[in-house]
Amino acid sequence: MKKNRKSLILIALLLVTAMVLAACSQPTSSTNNEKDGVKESITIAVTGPLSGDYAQYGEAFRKGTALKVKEINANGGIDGKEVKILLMDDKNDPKEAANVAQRLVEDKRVVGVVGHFSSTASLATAPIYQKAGLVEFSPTASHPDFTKQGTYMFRNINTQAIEGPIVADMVVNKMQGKKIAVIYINNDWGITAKDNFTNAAKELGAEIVAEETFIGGQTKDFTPTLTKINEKKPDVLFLAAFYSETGMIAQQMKQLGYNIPMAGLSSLFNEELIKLAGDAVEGLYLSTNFFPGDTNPLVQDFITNFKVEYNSEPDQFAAVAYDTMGMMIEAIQTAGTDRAAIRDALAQMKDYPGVTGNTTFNENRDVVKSLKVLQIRDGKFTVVE
Amino acid sequence: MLLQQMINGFTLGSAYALTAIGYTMVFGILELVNFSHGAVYMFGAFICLILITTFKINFLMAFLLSLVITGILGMLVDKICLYPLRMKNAPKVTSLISTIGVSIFLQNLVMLLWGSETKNFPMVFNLGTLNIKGFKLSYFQLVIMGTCIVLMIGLTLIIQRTKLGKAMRATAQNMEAAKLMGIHVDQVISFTFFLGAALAAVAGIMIGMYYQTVDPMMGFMTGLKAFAAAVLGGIGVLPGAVIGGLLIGVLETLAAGYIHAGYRDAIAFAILIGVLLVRPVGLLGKPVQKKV
Amino acid sequence: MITILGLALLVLPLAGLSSFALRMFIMVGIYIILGLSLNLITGFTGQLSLGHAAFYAIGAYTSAILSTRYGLGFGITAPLSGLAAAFFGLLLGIPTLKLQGAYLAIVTLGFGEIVRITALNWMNLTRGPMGIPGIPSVSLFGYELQSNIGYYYVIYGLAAVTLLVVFRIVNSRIGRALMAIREDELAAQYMGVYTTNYKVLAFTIGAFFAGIAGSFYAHYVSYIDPQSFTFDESIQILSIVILGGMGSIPGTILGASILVTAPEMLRSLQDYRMVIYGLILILMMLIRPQGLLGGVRFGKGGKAKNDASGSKEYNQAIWRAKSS
Repeated sequence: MKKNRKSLILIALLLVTAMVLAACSQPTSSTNNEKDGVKESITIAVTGPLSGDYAQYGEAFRKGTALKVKEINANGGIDGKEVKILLMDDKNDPKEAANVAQRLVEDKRVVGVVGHFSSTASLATAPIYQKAGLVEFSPTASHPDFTKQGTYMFRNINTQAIEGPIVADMVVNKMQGKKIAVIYINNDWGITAKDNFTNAAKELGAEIVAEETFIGGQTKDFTPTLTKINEKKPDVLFLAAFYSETGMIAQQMKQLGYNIPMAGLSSLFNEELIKLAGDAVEGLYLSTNFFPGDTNPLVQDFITNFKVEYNSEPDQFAAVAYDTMGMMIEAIQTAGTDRAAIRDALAQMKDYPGVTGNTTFNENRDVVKSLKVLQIRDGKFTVVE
Repeated sequence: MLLQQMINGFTLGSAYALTAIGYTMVFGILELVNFSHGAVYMFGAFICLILITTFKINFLMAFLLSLVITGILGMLVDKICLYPLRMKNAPKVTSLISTIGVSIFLQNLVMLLWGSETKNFPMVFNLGTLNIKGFKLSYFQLVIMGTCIVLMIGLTLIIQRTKLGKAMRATAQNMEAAKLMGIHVDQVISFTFFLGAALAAVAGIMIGMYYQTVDPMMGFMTGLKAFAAAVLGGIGVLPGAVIGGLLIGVLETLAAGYIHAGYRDAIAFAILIGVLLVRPVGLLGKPVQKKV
Repeated sequence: MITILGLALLVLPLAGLSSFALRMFIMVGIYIILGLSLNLITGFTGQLSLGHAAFYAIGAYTSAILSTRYGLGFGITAPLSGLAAAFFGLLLGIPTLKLQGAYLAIVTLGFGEIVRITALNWMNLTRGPMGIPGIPSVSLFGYELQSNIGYYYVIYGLAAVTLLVVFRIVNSRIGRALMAIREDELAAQYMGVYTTNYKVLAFTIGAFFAGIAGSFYAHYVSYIDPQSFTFDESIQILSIVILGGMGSIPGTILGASILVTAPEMLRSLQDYRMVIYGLILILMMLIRPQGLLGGVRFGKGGKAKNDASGSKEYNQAIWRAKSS
């Protein structure tokens, strides 16, 4: 019995060590394999949630970046070198994201990282990238603190400090909203969006009659919130939420028989919203910096290629991932494969012509992009002049 | 506004009650907290959606077919993941972890097959809303509540009046003794799982239709709430599940309407804990006699 | 045996491991502490807890708030975090006096959700979903730990202390009382075990160590938010205990190693990863329901046989007792 027990513990011990080492050795071993390859290549990591609650956004990242890389490689890659994507799932979980980050900074092949998706994951990984000196270029992290974490953090999305006032102007002046109710998702993005919007709206003379929150992915029943808001008789209901919840809110509002005009942010620009909610979202106003109806040939080419490749319409997330990868590649074209040089090249990049607008970083490595105002009319997103 | 909020709460509560019935059935027989129930609920809704949209089957057929498919899934979950554990007389927690494994597996399988985005569930019959002095009550809300009550009565009849029900009660009381009396315990358990899963599918489809959306994670919170509802009412007691569900639904709605929407789930759980402190076996639960 | 294990862990970082490998070892270390602390509650005392992440969260938040607002170092925040968590463990321990089985499970689950939702909404205290960034790194005796090697030694030092304390408890009079409660609470009561006190004690001590783990985690990753402390986290910790074997200390160590590294090893599978993780969880339960090292314990050899948990006879006895 005693012997049996000891051997069990010994086996356990060996297993532990073997497992941890096996888990760790993967990046290095694959590097060795790469060297045997004939063609030289440049590896850019793409990270995002491929599993879990937010997998559809990770999927958009995957498609957008892969399309860009395919186009670049078809034109001979970067100085004849093939661009490769190293795709890593972080499940949108800060702990997993940090593991991914640690792995990427040690993988010598990786010259830059496109990711992570949420501000939570991006913030949790920022110290690791900063310390190792590897660019973390998030297409979507809008948390005001994100780019303050270090000089290697970049983002390709308007912070709410920029989007908030534009949308407030849309609500107060275009929609004649004097009494505004707000529903916001209880995450970092929702809170900053709500704060920036309400401040700007108050400055324009509007009154905020209600501010209600919900927990994303958890709350499906909005009837108590909507009933409460309806009591306040607002002119406009402003939604700092994603499309899936907005769809539910719109439908439940219709079922309750309330008729309050709605407005939202670029997070709502997704065909799925109309599929989800149908005529319940008719008349909804929103902002966006990517719009497929844009006559810009860049945008039209992107949409055509995207449809050919994936047989579906690109959304805001795929578009911004496409641009982010494009900027990353352009930085590598100017700076080579040195991680620090890529950072400098990115920081100095001027007017990158992307499908989400021309992009330049300010001194905080944040972007300023122009926004369009859209309205859903007859089940279609239409530009409002 | 209070009346409207009560109506909102009752609808939400019916949704919980509908799911809680399945929970409580399985628990009543096996004393097993079945964490896969939420995932099965989601699976039921998805199967129905796929049958309607991809296979173009009419709603009623799709509804019945998805009940059968989900019911069989429930049986398989038991046969593959729980039956071997019962045979080995493994501790109850092992079964619990096994059902958690099932739940992770199912959620991610559905995501893999049909994507993780929220999908539109077609409103098959638009019944319109009832308008009483400014208060809105959609007929569909009535349908949900009605289904809930019909199911509760129907199940109680099955359990109290039929031979199968008798076998179920015997199994619940003492599995060994039931076996010795010639009851096919395994068949009884299989039937319980079939019924439990089919009930979950009913709940999933009804809720999918009510909110007109389904997503792979929809079962998670509903599953937890239904579990809470079943426990609040007294786990293993059918009317308890309904009362527990309605109570949690109403309290949560009132918390969201009058206190703070962000805290609604926390308030629901806090009340549950409070009730359990006063009545440790739930509202309708019978005190368990301890034996040495 | 323990000496070999200790020595192996001591020299391991010197073998030139990559930072990523060290990071994995550190994460395993954190989960060893979490697993051991839950094992005391669930494995040894038999109280099913589905809300252990709450104590982990309380520890992490206590440290994050104390260090970012009052500039306190890890040496002070860690014990305070442990105490804060222990206080809530005491609070949660009280309802357990009356509750059993599913009722206890839902109370602990509810407690976990309440803590998380409070962290999400109490903006002034926790900054809600904005999280707390910039938590200073661990500094001991005036040295600020910069490398993963430093963190490695700190976490395994803490894990060793936890292991020692849990080991001493379970092999003492208290431990025998706890196990008596697990085997049969009523019988234990009749034998003169003051069950209420012991159950609360188990929750308090378990919570204390989970709080310490949380404190370390906060200082190590430097950014925390409520998303790190969900129900999934509680399930992960419980899975570690059950996979390793309830009431087995080496089992918890093995369980933590497997469940922390498994997602990393499966990462190359991308979308299929979580599907396979679910399957592994089911398979492991089916193959060894008593846990991989169920019934295996550190310490005096003869005891392993007496510790009947996980053995067939014991389970059959329990099964009969439950069904009678």
